[in-house]
Amino acid sequence: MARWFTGLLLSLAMVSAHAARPVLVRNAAADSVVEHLPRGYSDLEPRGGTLGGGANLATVEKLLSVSQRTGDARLASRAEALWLALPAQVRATTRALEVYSFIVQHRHDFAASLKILDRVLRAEHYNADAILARAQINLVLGRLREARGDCGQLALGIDVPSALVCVAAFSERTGEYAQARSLVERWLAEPSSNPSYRRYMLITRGEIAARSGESDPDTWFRQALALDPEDVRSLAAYARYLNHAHRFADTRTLLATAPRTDALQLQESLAALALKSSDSADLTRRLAARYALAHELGTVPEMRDEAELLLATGKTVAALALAERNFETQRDYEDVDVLQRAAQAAKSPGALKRVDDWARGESLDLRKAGGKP
Amino acid sequence: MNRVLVLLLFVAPLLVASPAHAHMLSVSHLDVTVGGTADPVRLELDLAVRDLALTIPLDADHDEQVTWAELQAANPAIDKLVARGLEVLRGGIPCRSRVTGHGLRRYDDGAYSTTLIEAQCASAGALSVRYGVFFDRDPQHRALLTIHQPSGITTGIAGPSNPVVAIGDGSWLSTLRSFVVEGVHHILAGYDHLAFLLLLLLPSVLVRSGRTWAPAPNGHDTAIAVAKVVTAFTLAHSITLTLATLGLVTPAARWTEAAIAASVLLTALNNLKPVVTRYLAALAFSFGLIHGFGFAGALLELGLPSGSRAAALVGFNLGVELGQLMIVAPLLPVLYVLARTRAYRTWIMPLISGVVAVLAAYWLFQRLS
Repeated sequence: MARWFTGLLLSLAMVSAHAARPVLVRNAAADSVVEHLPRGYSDLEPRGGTLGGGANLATVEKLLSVSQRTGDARLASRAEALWLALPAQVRATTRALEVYSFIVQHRHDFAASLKILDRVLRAEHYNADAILARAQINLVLGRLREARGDCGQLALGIDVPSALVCVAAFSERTGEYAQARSLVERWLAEPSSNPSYRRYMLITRGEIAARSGESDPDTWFRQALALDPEDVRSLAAYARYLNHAHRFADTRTLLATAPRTDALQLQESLAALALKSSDSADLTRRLAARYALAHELGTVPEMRDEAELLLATGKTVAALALAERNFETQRDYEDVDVLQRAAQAAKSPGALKRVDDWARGESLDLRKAGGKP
Repeated sequence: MNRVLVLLLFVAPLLVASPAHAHMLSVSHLDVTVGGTADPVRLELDLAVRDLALTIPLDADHDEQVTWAELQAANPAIDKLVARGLEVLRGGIPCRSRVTGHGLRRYDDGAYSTTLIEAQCASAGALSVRYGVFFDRDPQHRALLTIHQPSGITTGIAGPSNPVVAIGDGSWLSTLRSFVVEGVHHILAGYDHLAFLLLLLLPSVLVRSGRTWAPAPNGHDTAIAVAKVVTAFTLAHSITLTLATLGLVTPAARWTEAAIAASVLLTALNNLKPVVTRYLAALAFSFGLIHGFGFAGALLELGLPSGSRAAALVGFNLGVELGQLMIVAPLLPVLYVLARTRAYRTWIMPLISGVVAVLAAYWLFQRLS
């Protein structure tokens, strides 16, 4: 469908952020299912008048875990409210602080998350989890020197499994794919009973395969999905790869019955636009309405994703502005990638120079790391 | 299980290079239909089944599938939740509400349970809706309001910091009128703002002569000086009130309230031990910027009607100014006459300033702790 028409529909979506009223159903068959709750909800449902699991740190962690798996932000928000209601002495424990650092990171408040991790590390200098978490945040923020320092600390004997993960993530980010591949495969070769952690390493292996041009990245993504076919993080990573490889029909197949989270809807919309599918306008309109609603409610949707949608629908200037704003707080692979593409589309060499200056300052070779010069 | 690996269950999600950030916000949809003043107000509240499943025992068999039968069985619990979290008011008086039915709607992000309500209200006064379902459990939850009136359709959003949404008759004049009243009410009830105003007025009828106070030479010059100070204060708080209300600047409420208390304390201390004796208008302007943020907090709690925000903002500002005038106009002549007395210069003005300083110090301590 013509880009201008899609752009017009998106503009209308922005105006109609308040959803049109669906039809009211007053009667249905007793056993008809009105809502399939995501897996994990049964552990959280109230029993006997109290929250499933009770108001304690374990429940907070359960809420966060299901939130990450399902992409349901209401659970993270409830987790934060519950954490804040915990007794002060519980909130002051290392484990509680680590959990809270993750909660604030979920809201993109990376500075606050780092402060909390620093507090944990002041009390426990050799806390591998906190060092690893800090390394990952530094990678997302584009502070590669600091991330390297964190990985170095872990590698100097604090914790070998954490060091493996850290150095693998750092190597992947800096384009040292051979080293990253070796470290991840070494970790995967060790038997692990932790499916969530194994899932992450399989996704990482898949991304390494995709970025370094290996012949079959699908194998790794499929192995991750075999562990949990409904995990939105795995679905999003695989869909991103498929779209990047221009396998748009495969993306549509993958996401046909996936949960309707913003990140997955974006990938589906991008695929639909590329295929010029008959439902592309409807998909993009609905996604734009979700972004508009988030803005209207005073929250900020994922700026990178919103920039991707704007870029795909021909709004290059708006896409570049958003990508630049996103770059101020996030400089991971996809953040740099969308900024570079937006800058090229908008013919803005100034924006590209900014990326180059940052990369030079961090000794990052963008050509090796998958960036475009 | 190895502690590292257990904790990595929660750290590991951090490590995904491009996390699928959810941003599926928890929202409810509230339709409000207003007819004539004698007609009941009709409401339809749609609450997400997922939110309900986390709040009340909805999924009776815990199979992670909510059936129509389970939803129907949960209607009494849903009604209780709604009764606690939704209120219609007219003229500040709660309306009598009753549930008239239930249903289901399917939105883009899932199924919503619908509760139909009728509210019988008093015959006069401005209409408003107070919403608070789920706020105690999910501070990010929001209600999207659509208000249908004979004059047209407006929208609004209710959140924890603005649970009340005002419903005018849709006209800008009625919005302006009702917010002028709110502005007057807020300044007259705002003891810290009144204290600050009083502290500005107390020395305004005096002039500094060496290390002592002397009565201002004439009423005309006094009135001009007071007009400058009050205008500066008014201009400053109008600026920050507007910026904060429109969401362009959002200072944390806790620090705003503490800063207001600090401004009162410093002004009181300045009356006792004058440091700033000239350019009082500049002082009033600087502190007025802070007070504006305080007014904005109150205005946002009232809820800005989406279709006439400008009228609400102008009205509230006007109301604050009118309220100030109601204080300054009668007080100034009294202070001017009192200033002729030695008692006013030597102990009345210092005593009042001292008492207010102690109160302000207490407010500051309270707001910071």
